[in-house]
Parts: sequence; C-alpha cells; structure tokens
Amino acid sequence: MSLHSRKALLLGVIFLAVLLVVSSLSYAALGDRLLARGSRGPEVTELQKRLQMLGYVVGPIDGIFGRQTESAVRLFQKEHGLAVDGLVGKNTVRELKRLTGQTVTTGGKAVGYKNSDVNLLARLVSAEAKGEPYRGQVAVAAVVLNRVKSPQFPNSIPDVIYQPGAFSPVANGQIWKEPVSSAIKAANEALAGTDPSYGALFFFNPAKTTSMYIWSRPQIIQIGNHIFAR
Amino acid sequence: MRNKNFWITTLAVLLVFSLLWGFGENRRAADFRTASENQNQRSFSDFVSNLDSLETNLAKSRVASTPLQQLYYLGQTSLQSEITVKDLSLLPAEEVGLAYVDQFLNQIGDFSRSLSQQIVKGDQPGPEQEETLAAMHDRLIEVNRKIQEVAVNLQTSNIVWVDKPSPAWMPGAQTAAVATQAKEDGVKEPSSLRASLEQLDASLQKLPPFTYSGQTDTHAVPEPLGLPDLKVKEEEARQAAQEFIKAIGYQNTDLKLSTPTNGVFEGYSYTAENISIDVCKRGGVIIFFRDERPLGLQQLSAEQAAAKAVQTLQAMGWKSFIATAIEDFGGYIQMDAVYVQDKVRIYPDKIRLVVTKDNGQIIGYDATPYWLFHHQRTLKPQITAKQAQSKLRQDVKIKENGMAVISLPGYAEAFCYEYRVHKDGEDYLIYINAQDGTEEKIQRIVITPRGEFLQ
Repeated sequence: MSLHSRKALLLGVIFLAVLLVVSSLSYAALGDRLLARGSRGPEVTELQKRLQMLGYVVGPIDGIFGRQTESAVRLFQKEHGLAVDGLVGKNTVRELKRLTGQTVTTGGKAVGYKNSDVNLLARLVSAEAKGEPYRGQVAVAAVVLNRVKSPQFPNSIPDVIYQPGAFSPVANGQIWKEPVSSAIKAANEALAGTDPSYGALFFFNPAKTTSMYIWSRPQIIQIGNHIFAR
Repeated sequence: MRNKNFWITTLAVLLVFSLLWGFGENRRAADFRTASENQNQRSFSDFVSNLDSLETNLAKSRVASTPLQQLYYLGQTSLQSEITVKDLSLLPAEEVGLAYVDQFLNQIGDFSRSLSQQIVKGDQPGPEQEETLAAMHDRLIEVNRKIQEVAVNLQTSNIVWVDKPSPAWMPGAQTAAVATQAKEDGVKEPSSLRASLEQLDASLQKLPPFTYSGQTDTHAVPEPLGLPDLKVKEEEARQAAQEFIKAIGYQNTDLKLSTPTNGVFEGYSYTAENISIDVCKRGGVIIFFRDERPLGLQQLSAEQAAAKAVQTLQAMGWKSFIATAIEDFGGYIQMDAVYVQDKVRIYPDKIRLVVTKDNGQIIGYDATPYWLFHHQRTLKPQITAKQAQSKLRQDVKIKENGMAVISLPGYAEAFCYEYRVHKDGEDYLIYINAQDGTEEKIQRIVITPRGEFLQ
C-alpha cells in the first residue's frame, strides 16, 4: 500500500468518525428521527420522561429504548387512538408532546404545567383502586373531591389526601409510587366534575373493613370491590 | 479448645455488633420521634394562635361601622378559618378526623365569605344575619377557650399526642406512659391531645349546625330539581337503558341487573360486556353511562367528535344543547353539553360527555348536574345589554358576548350577560348580573395541552 493511499484511508476513517459523532449530536431532539427498539440517546431519555409523566411505566430512564419502553409506547398508542406499532414516529411524538406540554395564557405565555393536583389525585387512585374497574377509579377520585367540598373535611386536595389517618396508601407509603395511566385518566375525569359515586364521602372494601363507623354510613353504590357511602 | 475459643470470640464480636446496630437504630427512631413530635407541636401551636386571631377578627367584624372595614375583617375571618382548618388537618386524628370542629370552622369561613360578597354588592347584613354571626361568635369563644386550656395542659402536664401503649422498657416510654390524671371530682381528664380534641368534637356534635342562605355544602343536593316524581318499575328502567344504548350505537345488548343504587339518585344499575349504566327510579331517566371499549384509530378532530356527540343527543331527544369545555385527551375528548333556553346558555343544566375520536361515539355520559338543577326559569333581563356593557372596565376589548345562567356558591344561580374580554395578552370571561348590574364572576381562560380551561 502506498503512503498516499494509506493517508486517504486514514482521512476516510476520521471523516466517518466525525460524521457518526455529528449525526448522533444532531439527533438530540425528540421527533427528529424514527425511534424504535434498540435506539439510544438523549431523545430516548426525553421520550421516557414524557411517557412517565402520563403514567406509562418505562422502567429506569436510561436513554435506551428497551422492552419496557416499547410496551409503554404500544400502550400509549393504544390508549390514544394511534396505530399500535411500537415505533415512535411523527404522530406519536406530536401527541406525546402536546399532552405533556405546559399551560399557556391565551396570548401564548407559558404559565407552568398546573398538574400537581391531578398527579397527587392520580397517585391516590392508583394506590387505592389500581385493579378496580375504571368507573370505580373515577369514583375514588370523586370521593376526594366530594370531601374538599364538604364542610366536614379540609378544603384542598392535598389537605384531604394527607389528612392523618384518612387514606391507608399515605400511611404505608404506596402513594409515592408513580400512578398508572388509567388513574391519571380517572383523576382528570373526576376533576372535570364526573361523580359516579353520587356524592359519596367514604369508600371501603367490605371484605377487609371491620370499622364500625364506616359500616354505619348510608351506602350509595357498589362498584367493583368498593362500597361507596355518605 | 482452640475451636471453642474461636466460637466464643466470634459470638462476642457479633453480639457487640448487634448491640451497636440496635443502639444506632434506637437513636434513629428517637430522632424520628422528635421530628414528628416537633411537627405535631408546631401544627398545634399554629392552630392555637390562628384560632385565637380568627376569634378576634370575627369579634371586630361585628362592630366595624363602615362597609370597607367590615369587609376587611370578614375577609380576614374567612381566610383565618381556612388556615385553622388546614392546621387541624395536620394533627394526628382518627380515620374520620375531627368532623364537627372542621364543620364549625368551615361554616364560619363560609358565612363570612357570603356576607362579604353581599356587602361588595352594596347590601348590608340584615338583623337575622347579624344574629347568626353573633351566635357563631359565641360558640367560637367557647371553642377557643377550650383549645387554650388544652394548650396550657400540654405545657403543664405530660399530655401526649396519641394514646398508644408503649412497652415500659422502651426509651421514651416515660412520656408515653404518663397518662390519666384523675381530677378531685373523679372526672377523667383526657390523657392525650387527640382525646381532648375528640372530646371537643363530641361536644360540638351535640349542638345544631348553623343554617343560613348561601350555604356551600355542595357535595350533595338534598333534592334534585329536575327529576320527575313518577317511579318506574324494573322492566321500564331496563327498557329505557336498552333504548339509550341503541341510540349510542349498539344493537341487542344483553343487560345484567347489578346491585341497585341508593340515595338521591336511587335506581337500577345494569352492566354488559364493557358497559355500565344507571337508571333512576324517578322518571326512569338515564343518569350515568360508561363504556370501556378499546379506542380505535383517531379519525376525527376534537370539534368533529363534539359535533357528532351533540347530534347523538339530538337524536335522543335532547334538542337544545351546545358543546362547551372541550378537552382533547388524544383518543377521546371530555366535554360539557350545555342546555340553551331562548339563546341563553344554562351552564348548571349540563350533561358531561366522553366522546371517542375514532367514530364520535359517546362512551361516557353523566347527566347528574342536569337532573339536579334543571327547572323552569323565567329569563327576563332588568337591564339592557348597553347598561351591562357600561359596567365593564374601559380598557378591556370585548371579543364575544351573550347571555348565560351561571351557578354561584351553594345552590344559587345568577342570570347574567357574559363577556369574553381581552386585556394584556389574556382572555377572561366576565359575568354582569342581568337583574341588578353587579359583577358576579370573573374567570380566567388558560390553554392547557388539552384545550381551553377556566380558572
């Protein structure tokens, strides 16, 4: 091999290396390229963060598009009326970015996410009623909101949820787990005003509750394993 | 022999380690106990001092001679009552909390707030309201006195937070074990702060709650205004449910009767594959429907889905409804269908809907607000649109206007001119009462990721 051609080869290798680095840098924003199982990089981290914000379990946020991230993407697509292919293309990114964006004024000025109440409520619903029918999850959220409105209980969502002794997931720390997506959906629906419990202030699982007080409350409706009472 | 020594040494080392570990854990537990004790002490001290200033402000509001001064003290009173309720919510309590203390403090806040709103409109409190305020003040003095006593007991005797037996050998058991002190007359003093508060709560339970107009216990309405009186039988209810589901777009659904519902909306509850539907005994009307079917591919925009839902309502016989408060969640939308009477939007009479974006099918239907609040209304404005508009600030730009009935705190409602105005880059909804021209309500419009939202 002549000196000349060896130089050319070296240049070629350097060029390729630079191209590789530059291309990975320029792919930094979510939505610039199609992401799929096996993709890595900061845009995968962003994807995982946004999915988690909406309650989809992605496992560790590590920038690696693995099995858990793929099933989270599929579930997100299924629950949002998108083609379920596990690939993160234009439509999926647009919907994901829209739903995890900030609230703005009518003039377009950003004023924050304004979702801390939704998140806390969803955590409670998730911990109290994960395996329950969806309607039962909305009803659990509605009980919290009914308490906020009732003069017998504190006046804000955090005050009602953290009221000492009120909810067992607070006492045993379950409330700190990330909420599942159906719980976030249920919290939003209850916040819009839907109340499938018809004004209930208590709910309990009849198989697990021995409290005399709770059994003495007038019962309104049973949804799944929970009885809702006034 | 050497082997034996080895084992003795190992066991001794292990014992020393476990003792050290136990000691460390104990220290940590003691630290946590102190931290939580501090937290409790602080919440209670806050409660005591805030309750005291609540009482003082309420007293001053009763003698203030100018409306402005009265407004100021009533404002302070309502704010202070919210703070005391918050302080109370931080204290250790039983499952149900201190319901009657909470209720009493909330009523003070509620009543002073409604009085403030009345004064803002130019109406001085009447003699009956003055009386209610005086009665509330009397009761508050008693509650405040009792709490001050508890606070003094907390300092002077070894009162603990919660009565929980703790083994005598545990460090810190001295404080937890000190308890009941029999008074000379034999009446047992409560041994914990919680017990004292529960005693106070029980004493308040015996007194009747205050009643006044403008009460805001809105979580349940005593009597739905819109429900027909006639009760239907199960077959009729089932028939109504079948018809509803057919109108939604399902053929031949096999409905199973499940546990009936009680309360204001007593009725029959049915389920099918993905569906649950509640029919009220009174009038056989559908009050709640939920379909949990999987969502198909998005085909419609949020507006198209909303329009489709309004059409479905029309086909069911709900003729005069418009879509408002549309929120786009991706595969589906949430919206309110609001009743319109003589071009006036009746916001309290609404049906909450969840509609899919695959084919515009209604998958969620909650008509409780409509049946709670719907009644015959006479809508004759006393002031003209021009007069109402003159009540607005000069520097706002009107973008839209119309007429509406809005709900006020409690079960009250007001017939208003509705203006969507623009000022400094933001839109607001302003409501001017069509009877007396007062400004009833201001709402700020923000745009969340899901659509316009009122704050």
